[in-house]
Amino acid sequence: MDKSNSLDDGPRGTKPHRALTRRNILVYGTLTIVSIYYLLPLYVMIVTSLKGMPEIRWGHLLAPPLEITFQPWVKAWSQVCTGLNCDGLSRGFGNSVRILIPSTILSIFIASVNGYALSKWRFKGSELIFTVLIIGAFIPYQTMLYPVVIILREIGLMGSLWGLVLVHTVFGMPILTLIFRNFFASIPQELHNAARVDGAGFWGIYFHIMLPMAVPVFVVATILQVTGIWNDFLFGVVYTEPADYPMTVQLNNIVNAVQGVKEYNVNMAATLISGLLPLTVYFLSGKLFVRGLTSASIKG
Amino acid sequence: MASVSVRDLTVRFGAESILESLNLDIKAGEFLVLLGASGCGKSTLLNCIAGLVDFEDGQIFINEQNVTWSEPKDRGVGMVFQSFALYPSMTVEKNLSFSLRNARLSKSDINARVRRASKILRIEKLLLRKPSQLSGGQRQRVAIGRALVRDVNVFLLDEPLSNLDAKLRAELRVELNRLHKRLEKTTMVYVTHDQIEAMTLADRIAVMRDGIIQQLDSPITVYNVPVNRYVAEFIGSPSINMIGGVIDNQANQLTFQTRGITVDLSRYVFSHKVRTTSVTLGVRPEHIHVGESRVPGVFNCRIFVDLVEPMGSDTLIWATVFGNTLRVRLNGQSDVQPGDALSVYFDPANTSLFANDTNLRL
Ligand SMILES: Nc1ncnc2c1ncn2[C@@H]1O[C@H](COP(=O)(O)OP(=O)(O)O)[C@@H](O)[C@H]1O
Ligand SMILES: [Mg+2]
Repeated sequence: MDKSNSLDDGPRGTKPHRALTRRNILVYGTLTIVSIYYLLPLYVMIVTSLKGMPEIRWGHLLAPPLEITFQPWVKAWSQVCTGLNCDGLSRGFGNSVRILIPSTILSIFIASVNGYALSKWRFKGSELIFTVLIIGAFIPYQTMLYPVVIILREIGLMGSLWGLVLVHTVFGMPILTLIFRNFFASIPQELHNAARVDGAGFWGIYFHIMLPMAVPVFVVATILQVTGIWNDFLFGVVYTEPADYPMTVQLNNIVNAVQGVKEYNVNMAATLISGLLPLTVYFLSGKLFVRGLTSASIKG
Repeated sequence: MASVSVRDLTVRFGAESILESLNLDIKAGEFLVLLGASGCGKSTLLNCIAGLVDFEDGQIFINEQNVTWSEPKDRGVGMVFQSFALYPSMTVEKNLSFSLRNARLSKSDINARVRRASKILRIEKLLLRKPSQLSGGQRQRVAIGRALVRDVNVFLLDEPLSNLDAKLRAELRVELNRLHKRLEKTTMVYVTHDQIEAMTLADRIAVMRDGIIQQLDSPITVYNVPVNRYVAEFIGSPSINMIGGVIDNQANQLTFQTRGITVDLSRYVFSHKVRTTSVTLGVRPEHIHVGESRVPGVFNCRIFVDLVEPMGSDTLIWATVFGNTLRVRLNGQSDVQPGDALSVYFDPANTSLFANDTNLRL
């Protein structure tokens, strides 16, 4: 009786929380400072890209534009010259898209089939192939730049878009295969056996059983490839001709142009345009990306 | 109707030999249970019959056809797995019809077969659900249905009930029994480490240990006449009493002797010639009865109760007799208390004698 009475008289409701604990101040303070550190340059870029040149010369770096103009964006997209071409970044954008789509699809498809075959179908030499792939993931790209030039020249793809697609596909292979292999290895062998008894073959199991289960991993792989290929500069500048330069290379040529006045607003606009795609991808897929990463790593 | 024959099967994983020249003949329409402790190679043997393992040596025949090199789908076998192994992205209906679609059957044929199988297993209402929306028992029904739709000759079941809780396991066990009666032409090969499943379902039990089949007999024979000590101890719960001692032969009167006990063996039926004197006597706890027997040759003694475990339907008594521990199982409930002395008897005809050097039954 005594005990239950004392319980009845005690405080009720949810456990009270204090907002301003030492820990909270530390965590939120750090987060705020880091956010400012990363957001400030972005702010400067956006602001500058919306100003006219006179205002940039006279005004303050951090001040918002007095008079908003989209002229720098238009110029960056469709008028600015690089080399002999004066059709702006739109050319590089088009090139990048034409490189991105086949490279992403090819590399992910091949890597997922590789990962599936390596983890579920033990064949002679499968361990060796896997070891070679792992080693491939750790070789610095620079050491292979020139050998790849020779290979592309020999097969007649040097300087073409398809040559670059091939390079992206090959260089993405080790890490993507590893991701897919680890995921497929976590799928129980009994499921694979059940499908074999049910009369599904290599491709039947891949398309009907494995692929639907691997959707989160495909999302992660797509994000990795899209941002990686879109942001690539080195392979683009080495393996393509000026007419086929991807956006990053063209952006570099615009920003680093030595002739004429430096048009900071156009440069800023061009930079923002070239960063829009990865940015959108991250914004749209943030949640999916995290979910995919955790499901791929927990299971792998 | 299809028989299954395994001839000189040898399986190695790396350097480790899992099965060595194993032979097994399963009759058409038979319910054969492979019983053994975990890791003894039961699943490996089943997977070999299904065609899921590349084995070193040997041949497999199903329905007198040599299927050693056939694909799993061409062997006329259906398989049910311990983990259910349902395709998680497909509905129950798609799970059931997957094999039929792979075999490119007509839509109407597929529908008819799915309907028939789901009716037998009472899963008609679940057809549109995903496996993640099913309970364990429902999942296993779907897994059985997946083999059922195909009209296979041989059902291979790999511990199909071991992932279910005790009550469901008992229910599904009865259903499997019914299913086998219903599919009287279908041969069933059933892997389990659970002796109750083995005893209740099997026409014949193959007791396995370390990749070797110890005994292949009807459940009652395996229970009453175990070929060796391992089989005797593996089957039966609570397990058989084992009492070490010697065989004594005086004036053509064979007796088993150990500390303070002399058991007259005139009623024991020897199946082998006695070549050793050092033996172990096995007596099942349920073969020891309270009271006294006047039948000549039956063994009577007094035991001292150490511990009583009431189980409702029966009572397990741990007792000692001249320093030997004895488990006695009494039917129903009993008011025996620890410290009591009891008169008990058992019939040597119901016991097993094992030679200590070979562990084989005498
Ligand atoms: N794919 C494999 N690779 C290597 N060893 C295996 C493989 N599958 C099974 N084994 C080994 O073979 C033995 C028998 O396994 P298994 O047939 O699954 O036993 P059970 O089904 O009787 O529990 C075990 O020791 C196991 O570790
Ligand atoms: Mg097993």
